Amino acid sequence: MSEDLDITAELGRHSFMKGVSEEVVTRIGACADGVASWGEDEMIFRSGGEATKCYLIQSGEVAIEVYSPGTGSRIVQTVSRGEVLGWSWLFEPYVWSFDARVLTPATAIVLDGEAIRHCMNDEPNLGYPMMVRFARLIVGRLQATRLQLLDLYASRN
Amino acid sequence: MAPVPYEVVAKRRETYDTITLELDAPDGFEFRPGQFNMLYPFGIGESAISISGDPAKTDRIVHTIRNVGAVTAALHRLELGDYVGVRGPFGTAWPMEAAEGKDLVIVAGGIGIAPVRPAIYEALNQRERFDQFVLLYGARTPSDLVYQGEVKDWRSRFDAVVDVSVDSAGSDYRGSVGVVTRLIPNAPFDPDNAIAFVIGPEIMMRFTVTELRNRGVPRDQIYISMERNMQCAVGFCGHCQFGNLFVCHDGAVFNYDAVRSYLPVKEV
Repeated sequence: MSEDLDITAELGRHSFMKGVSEEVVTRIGACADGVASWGEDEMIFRSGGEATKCYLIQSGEVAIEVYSPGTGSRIVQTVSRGEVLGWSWLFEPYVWSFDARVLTPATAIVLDGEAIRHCMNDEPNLGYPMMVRFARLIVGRLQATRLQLLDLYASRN
Repeated sequence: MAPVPYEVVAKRRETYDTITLELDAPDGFEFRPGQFNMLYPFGIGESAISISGDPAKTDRIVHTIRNVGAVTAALHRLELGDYVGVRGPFGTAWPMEAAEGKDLVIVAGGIGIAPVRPAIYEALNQRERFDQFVLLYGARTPSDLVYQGEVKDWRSRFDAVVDVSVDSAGSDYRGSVGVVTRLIPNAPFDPDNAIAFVIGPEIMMRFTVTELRNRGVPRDQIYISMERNMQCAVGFCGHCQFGNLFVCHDGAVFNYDAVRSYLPVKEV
């Protein structure tokens, strides 16, 4: 985990924080653990593990996978630069639902989930814009999942 | 307009259900990117198939065909030396001139990459005419991706951004997984100076347009290619009627503004 970087500046440049006030960026920056990097095939988290961190991907590609006995692992989605990995730290019981495996070497700003929860809860001026962003993220994933379920490109004959 | 027989001179398997046929055109065959032909495997029937070749190469007529019914199955059975009837070219074209000096953003889903490939060829062959070139290509699985060799070549160019995403993949896949629309928010183009060509299943196009609009691309700078049951191809029979438009005659490439009111309407 790199601690030399100006984490607030890094955070301010990330797409997820676009439009957020400098004050909020600074406060969220105080909840950051730093910037982490992973090599190919490293696991960032595993299904069933305690969800304590939020990852704002800066580079690389990370697969969100689910393992099914008999058929093996399937990639349900990948996340890459400018996207957010993981929101299970936001809701009880704070447990990861999927595996996250690095496909191509990745870096991410790592935020402390519990610290952000406290900030968002205690400071509505920070909590609301952040919650709107997470809601937008979740709605986007929901719509994407619906489109995947529609199997748009399947043959209809 | 009677079909003209053309000889099959090349046949390539793209995926498990998709082939590309090349027909010899000794007298030349000119078309504009986005246009289609009516292909007639003799004794079976006609089907509207987009032209997928390079518009600069007029000695061949190239079609990429997915096997989805009786006519396309018959086209799949054609071998080198066989003949197929051709009527065309028909329909409107991708507005390449309108894209000049702008960022050209192409979003293609599934076999939709075929009808837009002539536009890709033209843009990459005349790269200086455009500012950014962005191609976002989505497919069902890695084994459904067509033109894999070419897509790899396009991705290796320094003057083009080509991103591919599949809806589902096994854990050995190293590419992007998720619907193609998720590539739009971070794609490198200036929405105020972009023109977008969108082609794929209708629902995919609707969500793609939504994402492009979220990025700030003006409605009148978005073009989509519609697919309907085209039979006569000259606007007479009415099979492809879409509101007050005929897809074969007024399309298949439309400005989004011209058709957007019909898109959410059932039974149009």
